[in-house]
Amino acid sequence: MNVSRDFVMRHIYGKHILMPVRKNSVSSDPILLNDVAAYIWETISKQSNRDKILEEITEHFNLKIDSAEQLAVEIFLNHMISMKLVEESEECNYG
Amino acid sequence: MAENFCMHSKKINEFVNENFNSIRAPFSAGIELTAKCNLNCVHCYAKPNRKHNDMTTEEFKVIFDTLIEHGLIEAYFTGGEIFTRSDFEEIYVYAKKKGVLIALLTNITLLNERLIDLFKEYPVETISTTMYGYTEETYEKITGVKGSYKMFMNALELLQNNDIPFELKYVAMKQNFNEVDQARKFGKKLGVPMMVSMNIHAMNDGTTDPVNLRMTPQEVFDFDMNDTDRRESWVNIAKSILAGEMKLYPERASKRFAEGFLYPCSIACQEVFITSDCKMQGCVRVPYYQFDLREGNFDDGWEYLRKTILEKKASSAYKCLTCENTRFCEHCVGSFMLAYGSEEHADPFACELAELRRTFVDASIKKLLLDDN
Repeated sequence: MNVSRDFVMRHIYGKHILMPVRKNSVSSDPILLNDVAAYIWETISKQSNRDKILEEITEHFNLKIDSAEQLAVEIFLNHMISMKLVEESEECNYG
Repeated sequence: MAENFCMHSKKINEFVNENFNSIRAPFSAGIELTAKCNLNCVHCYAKPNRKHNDMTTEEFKVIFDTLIEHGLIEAYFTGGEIFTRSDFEEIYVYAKKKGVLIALLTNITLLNERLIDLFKEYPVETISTTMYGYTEETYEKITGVKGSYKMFMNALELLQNNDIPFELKYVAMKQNFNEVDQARKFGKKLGVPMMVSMNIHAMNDGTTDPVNLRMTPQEVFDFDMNDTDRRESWVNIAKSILAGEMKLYPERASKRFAEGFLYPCSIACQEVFITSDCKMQGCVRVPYYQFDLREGNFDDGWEYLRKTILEKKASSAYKCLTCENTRFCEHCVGSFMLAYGSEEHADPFACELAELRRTFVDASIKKLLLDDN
């Protein structure tokens, strides 16, 4: 999976902001992300394999396997996909 | 003031206030891409800049990257006429790809299909343009260029047909005031925001010829009273003050004035202006304090603006510090300086207009009180 090229992440005085670049169906306004969401975004932008992305996030935040927190991350990922902030690539492993 | 460069900017101001209220950084910037223009408007304040050695594409990129490092969120590109630059497309795409919201101030007469395609792919926040007259004769009397009215109207159609966000301004002055109502109706018919401005400023070199074109304070006030929407907005201010939802004195201005500062606005605090020859100013109306970015770096310039503008104190004789009409005034220290050669020379035009508005709001509050009883 890849982050949408329609946005670029800016870090401005401790805030993480997705700024719209190209025409898109999500938002023409800046989107504020919290620290966790911003980390997830940065991870996806560096790594395209879904399992590895989840593994890295789980490890970074010290989440337990099959915990509610890990499930929340997965739901958030799916939410980003449904919002088209994240695009699924062909090599994606759905696990 | 710079925060009023276009109506859209209000939205970004709120975003900055919510998230970065106490931080001094150039979150918003006006960038004059060129001072050159294909029109020759009678009221233009920027004519003296036309001899500028305009910034190169590379100079633009270096300055823009520096502003981004310091927190730039939104910029507006202005001129002169921005579309006279042959590298406009390169500059615009560069800025968009860096994640900055871009608004454009342009007379739109050079707008074409290629630019429309560009704005479809990389959306513009808004295109803010000015209708100088409702009729061809009046429009071209202001712009001084035959054929410019048709170019303007064709461009409006292009914007409208392609759903590119734009707003219309009408700079009302003696030459075109008789057509302001028709222009307003035209704006309403198009369904786009239309702002009527009666503010005409001295040129950047202090030449006051444009100021002679403006309406009298009484004429401006009468226009407000005869226009349903504008009159209603003043009545709503009366209601808000009465309900305690709005203070009689604007918060920032009253705080700054109470501390004795000369400049009550946010220039040189969260806003900056870059001229086409790479000079950094607090805002477009303050060209008398400039830092040359071709000679020094941004940090030194930002510090220079702090000392010359942000921290500048007014003398005890400065009448605006204690004026009760601040809420109703279009007070601008920069305009005072350009027109009268003194930052503390309050413009009688602004004072008289504020007094008329204050009197009306006072009367409205009294009427509301009586109606309640």
